Amino acid sequence: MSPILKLTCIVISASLIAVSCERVISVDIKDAPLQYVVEGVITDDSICRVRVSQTSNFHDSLNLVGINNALVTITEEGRSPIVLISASERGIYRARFTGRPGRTYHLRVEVPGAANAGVFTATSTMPKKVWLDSLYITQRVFLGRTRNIATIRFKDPPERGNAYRFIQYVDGKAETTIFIAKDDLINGHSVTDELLIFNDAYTLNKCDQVRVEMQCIDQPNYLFWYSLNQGSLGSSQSASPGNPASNIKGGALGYFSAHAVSALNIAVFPDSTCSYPAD
Amino acid sequence: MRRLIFSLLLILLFSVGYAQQKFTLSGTVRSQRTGETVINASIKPVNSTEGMSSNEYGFYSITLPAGEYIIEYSAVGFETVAENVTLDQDVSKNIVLPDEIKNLDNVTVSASGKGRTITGTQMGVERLSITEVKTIPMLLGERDILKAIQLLPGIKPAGDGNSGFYVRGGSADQNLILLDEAQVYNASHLMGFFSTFNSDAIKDITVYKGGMPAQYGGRLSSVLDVKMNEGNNQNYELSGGIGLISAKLNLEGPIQKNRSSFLLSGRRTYADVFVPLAKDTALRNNKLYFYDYNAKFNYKMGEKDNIYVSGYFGRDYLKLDQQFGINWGNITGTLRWNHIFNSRLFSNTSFIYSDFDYNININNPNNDLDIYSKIRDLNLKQEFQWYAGSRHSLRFGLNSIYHKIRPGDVTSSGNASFNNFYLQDRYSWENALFVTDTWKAAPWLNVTYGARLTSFAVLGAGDFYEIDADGNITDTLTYKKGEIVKNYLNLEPRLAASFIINQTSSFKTSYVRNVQNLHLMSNSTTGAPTDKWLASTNIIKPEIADLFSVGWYKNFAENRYEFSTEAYYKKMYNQIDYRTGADVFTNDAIESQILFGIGRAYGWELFLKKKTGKATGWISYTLSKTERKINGINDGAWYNARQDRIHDVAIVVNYQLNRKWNLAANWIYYTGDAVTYPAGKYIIDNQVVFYYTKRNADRMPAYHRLDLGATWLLKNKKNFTSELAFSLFNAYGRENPYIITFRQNKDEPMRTEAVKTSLFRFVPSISYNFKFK
Repeated sequence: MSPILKLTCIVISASLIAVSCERVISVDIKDAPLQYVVEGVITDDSICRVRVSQTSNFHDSLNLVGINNALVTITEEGRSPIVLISASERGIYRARFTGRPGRTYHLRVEVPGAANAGVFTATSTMPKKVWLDSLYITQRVFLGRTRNIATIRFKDPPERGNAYRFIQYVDGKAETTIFIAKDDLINGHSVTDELLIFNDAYTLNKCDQVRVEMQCIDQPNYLFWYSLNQGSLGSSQSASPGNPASNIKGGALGYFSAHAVSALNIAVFPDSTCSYPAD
Repeated sequence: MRRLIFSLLLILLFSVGYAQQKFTLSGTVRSQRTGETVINASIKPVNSTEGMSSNEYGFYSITLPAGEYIIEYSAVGFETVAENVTLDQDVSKNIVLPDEIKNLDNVTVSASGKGRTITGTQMGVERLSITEVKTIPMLLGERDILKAIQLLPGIKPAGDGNSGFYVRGGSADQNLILLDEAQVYNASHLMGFFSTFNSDAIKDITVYKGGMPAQYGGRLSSVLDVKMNEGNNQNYELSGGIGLISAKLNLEGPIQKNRSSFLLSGRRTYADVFVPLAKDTALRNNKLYFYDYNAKFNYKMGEKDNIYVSGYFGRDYLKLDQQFGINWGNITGTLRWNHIFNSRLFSNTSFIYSDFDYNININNPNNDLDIYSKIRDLNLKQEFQWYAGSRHSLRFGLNSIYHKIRPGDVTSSGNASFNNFYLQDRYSWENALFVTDTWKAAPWLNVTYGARLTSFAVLGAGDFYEIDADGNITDTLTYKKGEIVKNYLNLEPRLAASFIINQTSSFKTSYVRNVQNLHLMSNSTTGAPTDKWLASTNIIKPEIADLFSVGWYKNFAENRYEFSTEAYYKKMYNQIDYRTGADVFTNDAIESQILFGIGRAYGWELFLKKKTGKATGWISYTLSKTERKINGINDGAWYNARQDRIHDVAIVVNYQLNRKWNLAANWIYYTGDAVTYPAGKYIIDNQVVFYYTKRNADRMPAYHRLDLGATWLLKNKKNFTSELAFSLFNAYGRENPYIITFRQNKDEPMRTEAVKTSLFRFVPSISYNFKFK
């Protein structure tokens, strides 16, 4: 449903943008104490990765250096904890571990020396896996331009409560638009969904190699992405921007998601003029 | 001490006067040229402190000791008429007032409404005449009463060029907007840039920002009472106008002279309003337009009965690439019957219908979807005005409204990806009893006291929910059709007093409580047609506001100037806001998506108006503060409401240069809106996300703007007049921020920048208006 609302917003603002002008201005930002950020992912696709980092002040360059001295564990319910090991300067922790649909996972991150305890925990249950059935390119006019749009098909299972996130990669690079869906309107249907990018000029180009990953996410993570998209990207017309609804407890920003993934690849209307590097 | 003795003497005289026999003079005041009733005309015996105003149907009743009187009838825009009356029995006298004759050598424009009286108890009221509205320069030359009232103290625009407004710290949905008594749920066209009111069809505008009379209720912050013209019952008139964005046509005339008349009025914008201005040709395929129609019919059945039928129908359409469409609109209808029982008792009975709906349609090769939502009221209002004697006049009556809200029906064709989905319809029945007595307690003291008792019954059929503090459903209760889920009973006291210092100045004070049972949920900065109306439920409690105000009023320089100042404090209870990540479109248990809290607002308003002469106009200034405290937002601490603006200034000037040219200008300034800027940033999935701390703790840059206008009277013949109107909106091209967004610099992706988007600068317009009489 949110894409529909977003579309409404876009159409409404499109008519305004026509007469508007933009200018970069300087604003008076009051810096706040830095916060910890935790991004935790465990999939059925052998990814078990947590990034621990901190916020940056508004006017500073983004701080890409992570927190590398944290103690990070993930525990499958009823089993013993797996310790994740820091592998880089960017605060990324990994373990060789594959999640399973239907299982519940607990994340624990402890940052030694952090103010107020520095222990962050979260729980996520990996939903049942739903497969991405097909991926193809649709050509149609949107906002006055003909565009190539990645279109997916999948079958939502009969039981209620499924939620999905899609990520579009073009030539290996992730597109940042947040595509999410939940089954309150589509429950049990064969779903056709266009990954429409609400950008005036955006289109997939001929020869582009497109990969779409479908993640079956749990409800708290749906809420995280939904609220992040609504109010935390700095670009929305929302009257009340704010931090997304997070499932991390203990005062950190971010999310912990156990999800099942499936992905498909396609080239955009390929012919002999396209050249691809040999793999 | 001397004053006290003097006052006591006067009271004594008055009481003695009571022994004398009294009679009542009553009747209806009408315009000679059009036969329309005159609202708020003053009826006053010469050399007396007594006085009355005609009511909203032109009826007046004044009770005086037996004797000979010269009665003066006066009203804005009309010549004053004096009549000799011998009051040795009850006298009925209908009066017609001729139009004011403008002295051509020494042009005098009497632009002011006489709404603000020194002696009356009514506070916080603003009246604008259509003549005043007509000369104020507006965006794209479209005359707009909702934008005109924003130039008054205590009333603030919702945004650049926007017709939405905030009154004394209330939000946009806390204004009761009535068109011929029918509630208009969405009073704007095209995302708020134009109001639903076609000024050609409007007779009178009254705004109550405090001290609402007891016959009004249902909204916390203000009442905007708009009355449509009735239609000329003397002659046919055809008038119209062609502007940059719209064309208008208005036809009125008698059906039977002196007995009945009609009015038909229509307005339509040209296919696309902003689209032709678009640099981007791609956008030109889109459609964006609105139209509205007003119609009214009235019939005089003898001397004692009048019937009025009026209606409004308006709709907006927005279409994109043949694939996406949204349309929305209001329909209102009012049937009224005035009956004069006797010289002292006037009755009005109204049946009112109002309806707002929107429809979103998506139709692309892969999917189709239709979303429909609607709110509909059936309303009966019975009101009596009893002019009980020379010292008391009473208004009392009842009001019964049946609300039906259809929150959302989602439908789709069989082969699409979507299920049909229906949110439960919601029913409620709102009843009110009201009574007010206006009591001339002493020559120096007038008191109005009364109350409104409201009952709001939430009705089945449907499922209702119990919700815990985190918004989880703990229980579902199922009710049968017509079963009462919850009944809210509230008493709303309405008290006001005016202390008359002398003929030209007074001090007033008032207290009102208002209760609101329909709540608009909005998360956009300017309001959208898809904002959601909710009725109170078992969980959502009625919003309540207590408003205290005091004021001082002074007319000087022989009434050419008026000055007023008011201070207010408002406390609001059961205020509502969205939870983070609220999804209100597919959630039947809407209570799980919202948060509750309180609000407070206080302020000081100053207003100075020059009412007559070649140059007229006003200066208004408001100093104010508006805050909310909602459990779950801003850590439960007080924060600025978005509409919190510390300073607010408006200067409106009109200058009648000569017979042909009228010049106008207005300048406004206000403190930037309270907004939330990020306090930091971080990365989630390779994307920059902003970190927020305090809600609305930051400020947009201040808003200010100058608009210029000129009206050139081309022809002014007995049967035909025409004029050209020019305007320039935002004449010095101030880039006022519409929104401020944040993004990464294109060249240095690690660096963040703030981007100000501004809308209207140097917008010129020209329009042509004509009238055949």
